[in-house]
Amino acid sequence: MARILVADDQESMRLIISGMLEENGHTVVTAEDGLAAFEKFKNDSFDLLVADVNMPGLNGIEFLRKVKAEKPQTKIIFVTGMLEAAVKVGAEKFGLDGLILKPFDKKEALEIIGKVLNRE
Amino acid sequence: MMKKLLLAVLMAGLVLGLTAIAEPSPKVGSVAPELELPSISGQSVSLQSPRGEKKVILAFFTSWSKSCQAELDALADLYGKNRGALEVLAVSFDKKSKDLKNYLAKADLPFPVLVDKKLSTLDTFQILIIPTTFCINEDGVIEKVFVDFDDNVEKAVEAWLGS
Repeated sequence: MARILVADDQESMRLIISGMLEENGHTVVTAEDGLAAFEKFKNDSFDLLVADVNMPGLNGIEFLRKVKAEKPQTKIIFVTGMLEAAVKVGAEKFGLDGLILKPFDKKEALEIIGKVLNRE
Repeated sequence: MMKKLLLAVLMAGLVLGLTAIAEPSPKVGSVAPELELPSISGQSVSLQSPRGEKKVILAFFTSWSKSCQAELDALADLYGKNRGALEVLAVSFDKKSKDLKNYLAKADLPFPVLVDKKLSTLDTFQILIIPTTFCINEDGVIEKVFVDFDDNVEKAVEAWLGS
């Protein structure tokens, strides 16, 4: 099972996402904003990062850019309500690995996460 | 340890309808936010209108989700058994009207289906996972919130209706 960092500024969202992942056997570390997430990413080792796009401090795109610059092989999935053009372009430019659109069905989200985790 | 405790309290609050420390907004025990959306037939429907007379179940769904389909089937049964004492409003997040209409033609739901293509209620009701279901009492107060659907949720909703 994987070690996953979940970054979202809303506590209820962090708890729901981490609960869903832990129910499926994954180990989860959470961060309350992009800066905290980046610090945890630098000082720890994760199989996957699951991040909200709209976070204070460091938004999802900036977080993605910095993470990929530091460790390009790191896998990142965004969780977002709206697939805005800026998100799409930024994600393509910086190599986003997956996208979960809110609201999501648990099964669908776990399938996306599983596919990204199993990708070479 | 603290995170596990917080999660346990949150999930207990969601499933059992108890007040949680770290709960989503709107909170269990608070008055449900106002909601006004067009129905599938184009008529404007408000959450306020049934208040003070009946219990209300507000169910957020998408037509392609199997969990949502199972929940709406169960709600249709409960609605039939509690006719006169219960209002059900189902809010669809479907982007494609055709998909929703095809599903509704087969499902033949006995309660209003509202359309929220712009996801305007996503933030108001803090929806992350579908289905999410709010059980609201006659005073408009949220008594239970359920995330996802299974037999246990169905039994808990039935128990709430009988309380």
